[in-house]
Amino acid sequence: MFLSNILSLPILIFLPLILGLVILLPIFSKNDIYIRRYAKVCFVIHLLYSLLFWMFYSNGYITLYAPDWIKPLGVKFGFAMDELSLLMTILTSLIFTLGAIASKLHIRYGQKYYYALLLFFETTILGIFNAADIFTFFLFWELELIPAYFLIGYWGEGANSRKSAMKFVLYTFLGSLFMLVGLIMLHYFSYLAANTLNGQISMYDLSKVGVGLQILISMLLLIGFGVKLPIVPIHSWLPDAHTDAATPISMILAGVLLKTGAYAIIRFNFQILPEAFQYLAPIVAAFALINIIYAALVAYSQTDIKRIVAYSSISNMGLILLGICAMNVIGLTGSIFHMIAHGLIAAGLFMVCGIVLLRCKERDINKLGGLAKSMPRLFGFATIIVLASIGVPALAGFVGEVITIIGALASELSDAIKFIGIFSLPVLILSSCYLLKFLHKGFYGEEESCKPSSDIANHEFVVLGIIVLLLIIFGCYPAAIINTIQNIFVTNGAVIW
Amino acid sequence: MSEFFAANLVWVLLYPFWAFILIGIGRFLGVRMSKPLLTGITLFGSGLGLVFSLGALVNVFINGASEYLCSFIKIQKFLLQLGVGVDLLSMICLSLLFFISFFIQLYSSSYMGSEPKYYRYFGYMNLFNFSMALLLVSPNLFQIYIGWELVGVVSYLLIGFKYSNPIKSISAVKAFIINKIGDTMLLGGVVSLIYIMYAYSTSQFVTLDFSDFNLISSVAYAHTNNFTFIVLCMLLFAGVMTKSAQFPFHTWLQDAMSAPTPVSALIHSATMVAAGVFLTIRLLPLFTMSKDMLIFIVMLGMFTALFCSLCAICQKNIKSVLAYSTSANLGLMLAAVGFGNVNLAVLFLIVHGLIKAALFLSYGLSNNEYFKNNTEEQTISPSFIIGAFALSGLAFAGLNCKEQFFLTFKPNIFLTIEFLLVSFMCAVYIFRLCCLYPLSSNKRKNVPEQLSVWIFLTVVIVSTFMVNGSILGAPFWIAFVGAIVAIVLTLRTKYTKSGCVSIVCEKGFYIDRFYSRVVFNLYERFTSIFSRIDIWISDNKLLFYIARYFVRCAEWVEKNIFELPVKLIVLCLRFASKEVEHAQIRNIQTYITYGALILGIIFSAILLMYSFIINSLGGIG
Repeated sequence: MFLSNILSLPILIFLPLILGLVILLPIFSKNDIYIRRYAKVCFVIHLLYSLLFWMFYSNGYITLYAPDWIKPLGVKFGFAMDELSLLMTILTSLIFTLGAIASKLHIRYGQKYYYALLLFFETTILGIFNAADIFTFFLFWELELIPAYFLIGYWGEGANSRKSAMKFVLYTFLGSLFMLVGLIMLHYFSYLAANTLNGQISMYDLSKVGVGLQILISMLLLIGFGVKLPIVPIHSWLPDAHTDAATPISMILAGVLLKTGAYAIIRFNFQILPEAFQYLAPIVAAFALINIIYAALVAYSQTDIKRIVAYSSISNMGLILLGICAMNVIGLTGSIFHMIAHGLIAAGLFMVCGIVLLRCKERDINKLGGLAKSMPRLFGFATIIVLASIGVPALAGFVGEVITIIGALASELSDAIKFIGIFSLPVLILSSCYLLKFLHKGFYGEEESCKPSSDIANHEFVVLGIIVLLLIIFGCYPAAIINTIQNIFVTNGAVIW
Repeated sequence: MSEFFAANLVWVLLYPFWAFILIGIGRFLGVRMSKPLLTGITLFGSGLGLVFSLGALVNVFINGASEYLCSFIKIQKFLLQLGVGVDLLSMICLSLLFFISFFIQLYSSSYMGSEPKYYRYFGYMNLFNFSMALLLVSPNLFQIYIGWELVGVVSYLLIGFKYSNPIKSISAVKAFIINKIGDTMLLGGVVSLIYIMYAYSTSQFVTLDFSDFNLISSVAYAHTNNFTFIVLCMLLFAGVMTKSAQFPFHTWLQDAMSAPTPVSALIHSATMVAAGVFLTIRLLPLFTMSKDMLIFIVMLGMFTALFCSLCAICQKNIKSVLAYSTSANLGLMLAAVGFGNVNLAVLFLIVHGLIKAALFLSYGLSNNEYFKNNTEEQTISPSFIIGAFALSGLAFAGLNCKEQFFLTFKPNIFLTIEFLLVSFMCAVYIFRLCCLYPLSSNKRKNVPEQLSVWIFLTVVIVSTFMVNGSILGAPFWIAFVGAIVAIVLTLRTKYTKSGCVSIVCEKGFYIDRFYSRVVFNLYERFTSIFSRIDIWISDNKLLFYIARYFVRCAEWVEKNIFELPVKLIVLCLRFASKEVEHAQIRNIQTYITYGALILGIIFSAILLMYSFIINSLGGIG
């Protein structure tokens, strides 16, 4: 097959970076309208290229590129792709494309650097999702902070966006210190036990390492990943960063960046250290329950519309974490499905908030009202996305939530996880409380102070239309994703799962 | 011939969904569809559905029940299916649904004629047809949940149909959240049942198919203790309680009356609220396992009937009376199911649906919100009085049903008395309305509306002669007395419209106020506590203090331990300087500093280029 021969992981990962460097060339002037169009074309090309991977993907790892990097440590600059990476890659390129389209009205200055950084950001996130080697993974994990910091800080909509960006970087950095210790211990002890130096994620075999040590490593890693996910006591960077960032960046943060945490937990804690995770899972599940309920309660009393959505993200990420903790095929399938569904939902909700912010210059929910009259299309989209988020069937959110909870119930680890599965159900009520409040106060009622001049523009229509269409398709035909997810368990061997 | 209907029913049921999507996409893209076209599309769907469901009903009599399934979610052993199950109960309910919705849509085409959001209304109507059909034809419990939740959403959208009205939109949110509480409990029950089947039984039960439900019930009963089983049943029944507006969740039905009148007729009296009774019939094998559960169902149904009838007597608004009456009658149906008389429940479900639809529609005939400025002035049309006769059990199909109820409850004296009380109050509140409000003089040309009302009434009247065994028994006489009492009291005393017995009854014993004030405020307080906790976490300086403490420690170590050699050297040098008085000490210090700096740079360069050097030397091993 000719087409399948052009699929190359390095190209997939570094294409945005290279295309982004072109923007920095002097052929583009500083605030050129062509920059935006060029960047949009870049993202669309990349999306199509990653979709090709889905079309021509045959079972098994694609590990094509792994040159030596630090040879004495057995570290390679390696990339590999299995179905999980594939799905995350497609989600990433999709959300970035939507974000780039949505940037049109939100980014008023410094377009040149903005789009270059956005493309760089995509490369780093793709690097995380496709890394085959733990040190490659770590490299991209840290590298991603650079574009994220500037994108949040310099193009932010909030008053103290730089402070929030700094907070985000500090939190993540502190977490990755623990993670780095964990990764080094992981590497060192696997070397001691197996006497081979190999940094490849799929090759680690810690069966000979003591369980206590494994639990220690697992916990260290969890702290690092937990900051990104985020798990509740260390979550407070998220509402600030999401609220203060520009809308397209909020979409990307909620849609993609949070998923790197969940992805890493699946890759490391689950795949490499399953034995230790069996002991940790009930505790982590308890944290997940706190995430789910706590964030849903906090979200209700927020007045800033973007903060409501940010807390709803935390709540949903808790559900994803719960699915991973179930440690069975159903739970994991549910949580991967929900990662995709929530990526779309969160991006859509932030988009709606962004449109309202742009039209009304008002982010206090009590001062908004009656938007449905002047923006009926936005009202329609917002209703569908909100309904998807509160788990209405025939929309993607429902499938993810239900499978995750059934997975938690079917968990064979301990009864605690089963109870947590049942007790996480009220989140459906709580989330309908805060999201319907959002819809009710924002859109229903008599028209008040804010009178938007126009309904949504064409490019916003495209973004919301794609999101809603995908939500309906995945909700009515979940097998489209679930069949791909099933292959993950085949690829990675039945032993681990 | 009839197999054709059963086999192709699924396409007919999907038609409203496609119609909804078509209308929705059309609106988003700004396509203007003419009103006749929209009406035509919708009516065609309902009409087709009616024909096919009747055909399939015939097929059930000829060939028995059949199922058409496809997989929805399949993860190894775990399987959830969607499909169309054609059996007697589902086809009867489906025919009723399409029959009522066809004529109500016809009615709406005239009633909503001046509505600017006409397309939206008919889009929702299609979505409702689809989701209700999904619920009714469901071959398994999981699909029932899907339909269950979807009809709730449509109800929410239609209650808040006039979104610029703040009161209506609050009603929509209230109704949705109460429904959502029940839905979530139902989902809890469904997933628990799926889990029990997944863990303890063969894989074919995981789908919770109704054809296996006897076995599923016994497996569930065998693998749970008594308490867990009751909890499971209660979770499932909580869904029924909310959807069928039973006590204490009946308040949402009052809020639902904010919807346009045809919607109240279709969704909030005839079809959607009856879904609870439908589900109870489906789940009867499970509930039968526990006698307590059946007693609870009967008690709850009867209590709701009594409570809501009492509230209905004192209402100001005709629609509120009808809503309370719906709750009360659904309570009677549930009691009949709990008593084991499923046939009666289904019969009353049909009859009550038709009567209520006729009553609401005839209310709409004379009180069209689009042609009236003053909504306080309500009038009664002649068809309403015929409907009142049927509802109270004085005549027509209502009489037959009430008679059968009486025979069913006869073994239990307590229930008999309660039932007679309910039918007495039913006659009182409905005839009170007839006397309280003036007859309307209708001058508007509304042929489709009149047609729909009279079709429903005709069916109610005709069906009287199809059910045999109607005698003028106790329910008739009690209703007769009730009607006389209501007429006499209303005409003689001319009591005001603000309720006769007491204000407490009129306010529905303040349950709604309790929810919207107390519970709501408590929830707001509760969340604000969490919000404060979150701010505390966010502003927490603990991490900062820890970091500062570490920095201070490091500073101390730096000053007192690492600088020790330097200090020693300095001391030595001072000592030496005293010894060698004229030596160029300052120069020596400079040399030492420079030397250390260069060595440091070289060392760090080696450390940094370590991997490169080692690699170039051919590695360690």
